[in-house]
Amino acid sequence: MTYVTSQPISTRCAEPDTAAATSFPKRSARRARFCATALTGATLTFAIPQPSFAQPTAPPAAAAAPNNQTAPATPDQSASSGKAALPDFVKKDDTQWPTASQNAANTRYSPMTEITPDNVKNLRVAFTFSTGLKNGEEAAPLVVDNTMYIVTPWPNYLYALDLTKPGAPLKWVYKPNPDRAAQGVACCDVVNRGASYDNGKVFFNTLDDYTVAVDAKSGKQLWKTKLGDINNGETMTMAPLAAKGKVFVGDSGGEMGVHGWLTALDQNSGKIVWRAYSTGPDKQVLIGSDFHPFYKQDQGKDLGVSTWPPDAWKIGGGTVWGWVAYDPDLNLLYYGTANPGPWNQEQRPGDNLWTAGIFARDPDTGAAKWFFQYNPHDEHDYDGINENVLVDMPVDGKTRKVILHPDRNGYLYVIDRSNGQVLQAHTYGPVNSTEGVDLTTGRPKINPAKETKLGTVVKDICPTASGAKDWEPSSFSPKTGLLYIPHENLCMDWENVQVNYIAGTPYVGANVVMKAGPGGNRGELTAWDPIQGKPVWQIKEDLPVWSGTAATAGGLVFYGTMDGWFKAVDAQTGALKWQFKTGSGIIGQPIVYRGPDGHEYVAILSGVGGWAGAIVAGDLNPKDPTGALGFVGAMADLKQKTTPGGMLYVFSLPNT
Amino acid sequence: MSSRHGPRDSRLFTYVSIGLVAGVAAFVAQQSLAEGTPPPNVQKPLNVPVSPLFPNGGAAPPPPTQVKQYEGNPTYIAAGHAIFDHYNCSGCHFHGAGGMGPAFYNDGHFIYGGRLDQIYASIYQGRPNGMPSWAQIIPQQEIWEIAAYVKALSEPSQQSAAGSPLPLPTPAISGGNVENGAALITKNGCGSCHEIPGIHNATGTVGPPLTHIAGRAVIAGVMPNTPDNMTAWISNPQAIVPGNAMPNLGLKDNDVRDIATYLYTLR
Repeated sequence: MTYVTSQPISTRCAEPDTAAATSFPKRSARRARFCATALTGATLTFAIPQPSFAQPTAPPAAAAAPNNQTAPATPDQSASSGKAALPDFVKKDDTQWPTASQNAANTRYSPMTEITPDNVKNLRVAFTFSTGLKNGEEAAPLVVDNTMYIVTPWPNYLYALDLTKPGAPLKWVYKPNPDRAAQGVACCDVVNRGASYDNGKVFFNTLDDYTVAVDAKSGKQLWKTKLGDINNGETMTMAPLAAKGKVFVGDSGGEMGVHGWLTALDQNSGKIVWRAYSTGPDKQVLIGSDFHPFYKQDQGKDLGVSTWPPDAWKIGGGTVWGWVAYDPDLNLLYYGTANPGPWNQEQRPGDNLWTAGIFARDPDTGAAKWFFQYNPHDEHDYDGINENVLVDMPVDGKTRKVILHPDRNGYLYVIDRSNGQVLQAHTYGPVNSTEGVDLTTGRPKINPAKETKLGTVVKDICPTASGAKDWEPSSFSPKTGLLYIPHENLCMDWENVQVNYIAGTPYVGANVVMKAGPGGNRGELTAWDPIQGKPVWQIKEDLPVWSGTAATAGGLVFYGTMDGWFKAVDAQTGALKWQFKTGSGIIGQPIVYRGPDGHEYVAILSGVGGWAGAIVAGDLNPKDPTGALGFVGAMADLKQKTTPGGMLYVFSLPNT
Repeated sequence: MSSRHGPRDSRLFTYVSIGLVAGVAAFVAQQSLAEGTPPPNVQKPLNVPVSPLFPNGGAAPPPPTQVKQYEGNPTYIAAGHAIFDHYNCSGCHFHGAGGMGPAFYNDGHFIYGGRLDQIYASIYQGRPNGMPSWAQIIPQQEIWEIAAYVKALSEPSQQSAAGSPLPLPTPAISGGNVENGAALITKNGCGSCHEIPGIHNATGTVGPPLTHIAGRAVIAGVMPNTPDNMTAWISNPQAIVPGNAMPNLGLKDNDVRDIATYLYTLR
């Protein structure tokens, strides 16, 4: 049988684009640089007696407020205990796991206490379940009403497992049949980061830009709403947040020149209630009279247009593929916006608002309340999408409602979540692209030696495009008051190249090669004290830590490594208490729940992939270290350390 | 921002380049394109099998004539390499490793077939798991060039030197004198038209800047950047691209060699 070439058999048809540049490609000499990666192999835990990073201090809360806004401050328990605490609205006795981050404060903390540092050594497999897929399993399982829900990478199956029966057999599977072609516009493996449950419905996104509501009991589709177009380079990979009768979802595609947005859908009808774009005129960004950004540079009309070259905002990224948080007491929604596009910063002079920052919005109307930009005119792909963990903590003797945000740029921000004031910004990993954060403006001090340039290879920029930390979410324990940050220790060489915009194709404009950071270990787990603004302990890992963490009242922190070890460490000391080798590298999000038998269970999806693991999931060739946007350079050995394959592992103590 | 023009300009420019190399046929293509008609053969289908299975004793049809014309031809491979970035192919496949799309460092093992016409068909038609259909964007001749480059990348010999995914110029010229080359560049006033690093007052903007000239894939828009092509170009540019703005300077062979030697220090 033969086919004739006059018929396209791809559903992705890049349209002729009149905006495409026509200059004959000035192919500057790219000499791919293979960066040998020093490997430590061993896992080390050590206490940190002194902060080893630059520690700028916050000015007094009111003194730095250019617009005279101050946070409401009330003395309470957290101030007197001297520790950060869970916000009041977080249910303190919730032993289920109803949304990817467990709750709308994104704390990933379970009050279960059965499994402890003393008995965790007895943990053993309770049951397993194969997803049947070989792409990266980044999702968190959900547990609600004795049912576990798992969303897979493309083709985005939703499995429901019956936890009341031995071996947790399949209850039903829902298959949304996403377009195959969507795989060709997903920048960093065809992942999905999980679902969200509310009012008897499970909500999740498909790679080809639908949000779906499925009846939690029957597995029947209730509605399916199209939100984007793969022919514009848009995909959806994030875990929604279902809250207040709505589902909040955002898009991916910051490497494809898309126009990023967050959208609120009605939980019952699936109708779009509002959509807020991340760039463009105030009308599209839903900026109105309620908008009070803390810093002066963010105050003004249509800054989402004027901080770009003409029309560049339309293809400027600012996607919303990370974590949405919600504070019902303040009635504010929080989420980060991703990098501006293209990566080649010389093609988009200006601050590029409202990319690489955080929005606070009214969840009912979408109206923007405040915004803060971590990385004005980002030059290194430092998305602002990392998790925002909502805690209450003492600042100068008063409790303040804050956000803890470990940014891609390497700084752990403590932000007053009522008004967007930055209270602290300390580095939690090696940083040389900037030299501290000016707390009077919130802006990082750019290191000119690490600015990216056309035709010039700028060497050893830290952190990498993937950041000191990427999407992989931290957890927070009110018992210890510490944030458990899974992250990377990588640096990179970067060369800007001219790039043309062709809708539905990559819009990047940089050759990047990543490599291990100082010390040679590529990953770290850091326990961070937000009061002191410094690490308490750190675990060095050979490979980037691309899994989330979960913390328990029992005094443990769970996480996984890219070579497949699932680990439990003491939340106080970081001492390794238990580990189990799963079948593939772990890039998922651990969860902890109470089973139908009343006992504590821990679950994790194993299955390597994602951006960091693309070399395995996509069978890439390490001889070209620029592959997968430069991550191949840092992961040349991963194929020798793990193989693909998605599998759920659930653990419990014996005789449970 | 990049300069923005319509796609037709792009095609025209490329067709001009190709026409100079490939001769009259391509020149006709350029003419017809300039008159707003599609390039020849735009709707003519190729018989390209995507499967190696031929039930009942069938066989693959013979490859079309283009396979012989394009495969392994350094000029077309270099041209294909140059436009590989232009159409953002490198955004998915990078420089052989792969990323969103599969690796081309694959020892010839393509999902949809590694024959040149099969690679051509994959680009032209697209493929179901995410390869876009480029038929409406890229002129067919350029698709052949990209296919020739991709095929060259997939050869095992291309993967021995890490990160050198093409027949790269070998910018070494034996016997050349760098210092004399620099002196000759100054004496002949090359800097009045070109920006040339290391040469005093060489800030001309008439011709292209010669920064990084040692690493460029193509010179004069039409030739792979090899020492022979470089010396031929400097000796007699009007013979290679008649009517272009670069004058014949009447240089002696040794002088040309020294000038090229200097230029190849500009990495």
